[in-house]
Amino acid sequence: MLILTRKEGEGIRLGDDIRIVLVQLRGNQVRLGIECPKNMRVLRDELYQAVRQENLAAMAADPTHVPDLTIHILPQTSNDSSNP
Amino acid sequence: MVEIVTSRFGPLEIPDENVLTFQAGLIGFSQHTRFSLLGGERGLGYEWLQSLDDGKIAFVVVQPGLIKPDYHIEIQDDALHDIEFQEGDEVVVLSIVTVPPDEPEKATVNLQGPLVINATRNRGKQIILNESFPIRYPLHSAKPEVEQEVKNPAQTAVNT
Repeated sequence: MLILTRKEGEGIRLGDDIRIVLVQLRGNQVRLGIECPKNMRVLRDELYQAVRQENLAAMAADPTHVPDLTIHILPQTSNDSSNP
Repeated sequence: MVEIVTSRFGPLEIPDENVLTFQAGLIGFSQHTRFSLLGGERGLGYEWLQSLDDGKIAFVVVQPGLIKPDYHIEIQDDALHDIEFQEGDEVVVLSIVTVPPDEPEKATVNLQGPLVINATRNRGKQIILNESFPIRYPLHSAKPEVEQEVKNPAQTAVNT
């Protein structure tokens, strides 16, 4: 991992299109400003990791369990589905 | 025609018009770009999103509105662009279901990272919403008698 030290107001450039600025330093928090192309996904790391982890967990699904899940579908307009 | 041997469903032949392309793959799985929806048990609401790049990879997906009727999401322009959206295209939102191996009754649905699909052009993308939603929304929250308790989308509904 590349480690750079910045002071408040200083920035970092990634390639030509991405700029990260240390906007404010306050206690144990840092406010970062990000300039990048609109089509680039910018996410808090923990959110990305959590969704990635959940995708991984979801890959273990077994077809024999799917019929068991149907009782959780909310009844739609037809009234012939009985409540569990 | 794509031919693939899958671990759950055996060998499959998928016509090209049924191939769903996720240009960016799924979050954390960017190399898996081709999928197909297998609605083997039509009418049950659940489908399988089967990878056409790796026969062992498949996900249970469901329309989130069937589990949480007030789940409304905003799809940003960059996502619409990535699914080649044009005026009049049909867009479908699906959510990935996580089924714990020995406890299917504890299945949850990921409302934070839905799949946005352009059904007209067979393009898909997994997006992560800016607003906070449960990554593990219990399916049993969909029971009518607990519907009243799940009005607040920001709540992680955990009902015993």
